[in-house]
Amino acid sequence: MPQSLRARRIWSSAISYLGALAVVIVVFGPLYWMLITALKPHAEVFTSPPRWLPQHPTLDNFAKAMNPQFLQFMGNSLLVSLATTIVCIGLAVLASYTISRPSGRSGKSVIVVVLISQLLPPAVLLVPLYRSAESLGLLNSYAGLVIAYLTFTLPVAIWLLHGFISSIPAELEESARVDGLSSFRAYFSVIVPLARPGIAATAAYIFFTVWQDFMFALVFLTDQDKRTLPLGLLGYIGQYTVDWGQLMAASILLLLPILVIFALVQKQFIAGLTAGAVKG
Amino acid sequence: MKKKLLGALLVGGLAASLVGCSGGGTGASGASGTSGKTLEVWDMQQSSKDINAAYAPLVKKFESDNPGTTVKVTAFPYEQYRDKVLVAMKGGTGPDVLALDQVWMAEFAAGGLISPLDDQLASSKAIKQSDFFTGAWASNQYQGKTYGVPLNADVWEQMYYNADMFRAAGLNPDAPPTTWDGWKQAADKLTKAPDQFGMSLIGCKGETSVVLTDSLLFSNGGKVVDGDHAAFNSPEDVQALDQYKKLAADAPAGTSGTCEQDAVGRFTSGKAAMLLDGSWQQDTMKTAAKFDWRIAVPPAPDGKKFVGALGGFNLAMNAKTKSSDLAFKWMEFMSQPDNQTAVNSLIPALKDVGTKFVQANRKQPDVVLNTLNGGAPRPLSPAYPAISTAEQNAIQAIIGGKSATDAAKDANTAIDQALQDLK
Amino acid sequence: MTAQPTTVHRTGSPHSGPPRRTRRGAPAYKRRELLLQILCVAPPCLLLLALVGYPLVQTLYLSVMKSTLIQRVPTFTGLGNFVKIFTSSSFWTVAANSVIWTASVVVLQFVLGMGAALILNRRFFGRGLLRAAVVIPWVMPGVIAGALWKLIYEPYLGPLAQILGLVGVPAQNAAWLGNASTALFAVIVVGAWKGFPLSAVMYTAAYQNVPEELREAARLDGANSWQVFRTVVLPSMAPTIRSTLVLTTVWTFNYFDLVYVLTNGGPGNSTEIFPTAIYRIAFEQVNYGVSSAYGVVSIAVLGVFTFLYLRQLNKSGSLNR
Repeated sequence: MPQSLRARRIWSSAISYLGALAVVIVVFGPLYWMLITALKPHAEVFTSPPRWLPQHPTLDNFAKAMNPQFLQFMGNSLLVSLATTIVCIGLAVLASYTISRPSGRSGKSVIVVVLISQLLPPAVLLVPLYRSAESLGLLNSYAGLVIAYLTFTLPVAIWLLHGFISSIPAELEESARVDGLSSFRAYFSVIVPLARPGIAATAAYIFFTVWQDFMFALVFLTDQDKRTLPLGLLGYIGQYTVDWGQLMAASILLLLPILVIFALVQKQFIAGLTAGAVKG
Repeated sequence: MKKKLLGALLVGGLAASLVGCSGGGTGASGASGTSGKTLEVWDMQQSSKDINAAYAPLVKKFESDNPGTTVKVTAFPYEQYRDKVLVAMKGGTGPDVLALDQVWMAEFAAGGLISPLDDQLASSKAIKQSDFFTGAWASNQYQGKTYGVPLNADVWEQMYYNADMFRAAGLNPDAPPTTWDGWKQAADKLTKAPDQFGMSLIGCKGETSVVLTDSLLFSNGGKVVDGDHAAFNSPEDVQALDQYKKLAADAPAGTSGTCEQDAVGRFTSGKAAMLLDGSWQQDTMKTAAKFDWRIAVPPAPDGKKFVGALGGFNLAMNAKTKSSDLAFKWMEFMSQPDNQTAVNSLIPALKDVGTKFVQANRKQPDVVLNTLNGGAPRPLSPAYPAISTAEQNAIQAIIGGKSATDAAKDANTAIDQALQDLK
Repeated sequence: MTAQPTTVHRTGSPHSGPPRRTRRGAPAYKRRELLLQILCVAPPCLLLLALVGYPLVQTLYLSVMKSTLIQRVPTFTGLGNFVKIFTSSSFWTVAANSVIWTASVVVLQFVLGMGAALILNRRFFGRGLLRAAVVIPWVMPGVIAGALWKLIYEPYLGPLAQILGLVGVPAQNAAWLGNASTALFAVIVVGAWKGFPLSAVMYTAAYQNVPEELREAARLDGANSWQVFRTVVLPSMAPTIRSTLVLTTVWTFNYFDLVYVLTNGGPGNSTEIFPTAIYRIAFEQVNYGVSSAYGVVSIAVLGVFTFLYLRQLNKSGSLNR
């Protein structure tokens, strides 16, 4: 008995590690190429056959990429992403009050609205968005950009939150009501804290979506100083030349904060999705 | 009661803060509301140059020459530039002065987005047509009026070739091919697929393939557009397209996906012996091509001379600007030799300055200047985007196996249609 | 305070006790509640109306107009734009490409995502780290991913061709992006790589929600791993799978950045999909009328899909919890 159990354990372990290896290769394979391109001097990018280890590795690209302007772009991105996340979560939590409570409420209208909001192809949005922003005086301002982001992340955030919040048992709200709290107050002091993991998960989704956006930033931001990272990275792609080394180095730097944030949030994220898995 | 108020305040406050306050301020649209004292200028950023650093001292000088004015220059990466300009101008705002690609001029002029400058030019002492490269000045004309002032110019293309590979194939590197037939023969000799190829050809979907093909057309005496109808399937054009097709046979696989960067890579890595590209690639060659690389004027059909296709940017004035005098002053300012040199990484459009630039920065400058002076512009039509698309489709079709005659015919129909739609 | 006692049922439905709202007189309280609820939903709804509704209306309006950079004042042209696109072969290519692109990417993302989820739920050293790292492709801006893969696909300078060369595929055939017959496939691979982490994360979480007892029970009944997966795990995960598939379908259909950077719709128009076609016609050719017509069709296709999905959902009754 113990023999076959151990064999099964070894077999199971092997599968786990092989599987993990597969995931690592799929995810990191291309990223490895990104890394070594960042470490190669410009000339080496154009050698054939391609080298898997840089012949003359250099940190030059990273050094050049980490200029003050890049850090400014990163700061801008952080600002916009955080602002959008906070406002979006705030609004989504408020909206969930109506949509997800009392528990058991159908989320049908939510789904319809969510899907409708995602139907528009991006190019169709650019000029109308610009016009609206212009008439509201929101051009070249982060407020306008945040509002634009809200439009597309808010429905999805509401949908995600709906899954979490509506799965919290009604009895908890009820007992709070019995204790004399109004419905609204009960919602905020009892339900919302319980939905914290789900809120964290939703927040992460919003943050990541906004962090990588390029199109809205393009429409709304004109000033050099205000640009977000994706816009900033385009500076490495000229009309005739592409500065591959710096582009890849800057991209890696762009990804690092994300990794850090997600590593921190990861447990919450998964736990949040577990607590009230997205239904419907 | 209290809770309701709280809730209402919260929501109201959020809504108000979203709509009401604009954190970064909005005054950036110089063309729609400021007095004649501020100027907004947009330019395109070539990746290798720190264009903002270049503009900073110029802005200071201009502001001190014109006291009381504020100038704001914004440079955009190439990838975003057209989008940004279109969205802004369609949305009703935009800069006072903007740099426009030569092939966009007719479009913007026909759309009433930029103003004709003839009056100001007539009385200007600082800008004289004869100071500029002919082709560059010509690209500003639309329906008899001048809509811009050239900023920089360049020409497609030169032929880069690998002298080492020539020698290895038994060809004389000091005598590169000068006729189309000779070209094809050389390319054949240099092709030992799959290790080595004669040509590195640009064929991907984009303007660069069009410019390259146009240079072949022009060299053969062909045209894309004649007056207001298409001339793309003339015998000369078909021959030129046929030459392209022949050369593509000696190019590595995937030409229909090969953009400029890819083509350069094939050449610098020693995979292909000849490359058609502009003189601006010389900088890359200097660092990346570790062999004896040379340039020559590309071959022309027997008895004809090579004619390049011109490119470059012009300064134009937004039709909605409220600072037109100041804007024109800026254009005059930018047409001064020192200023133009400072901000350009392409060849400045002023003849003297441009010549000096080429002599200082390019290998075999006489070759470059020759091509530049003899170049012809691409069709100056408001329908240019559609014309370009038709040509791109033709090129892709040819690489995919279609005959030059058929591809030309289809493109011709499309171009005619585009010109028709203008009316 | 309370006029009637309320009983709290720990496991029953919330409505099994006496009615709750009898504290201070039903009508006033109810009105206040209603007002509060409206205020809570108002900002999102207003935002959506302004920023989605307006472009939608604008698109519908322009689709029946002739409006270009030169034709600045739109003139009515009825169904002219639609006739134009429906009779052009390029439209049908775009439509076919879009369907193939979306379907393939969604399926691949499902397979990769589910596979990753199953692996990430096993115990191994470094699992937490891998769970965090797996999101990187998703978080990368589309333009960067496109630029990177363009390098990778390069037939003479890129690693992929080199690897294929080792297995005997000559470089001639490894120019996937440059060949009209393989370009769409090449682009699909990148799309799957880019987006699968979202599915992986969703399925990882949903998997943890599958009751262990059910799995144990199935195993005790003699089912092997695959059967357990098929009969227990998959059905439990069904709601998550459904919602993830819907979201990824809509998002993939409208995904612009990747294809644009990788191939710009080429070679020919073998990788032209609705988002890139709409962008090209609006911003390169500046024909707002025709691009809006394409837009209307694109929205309609997604709309039909959404409608069918909702109807399916309604039927299976899983909307009402």
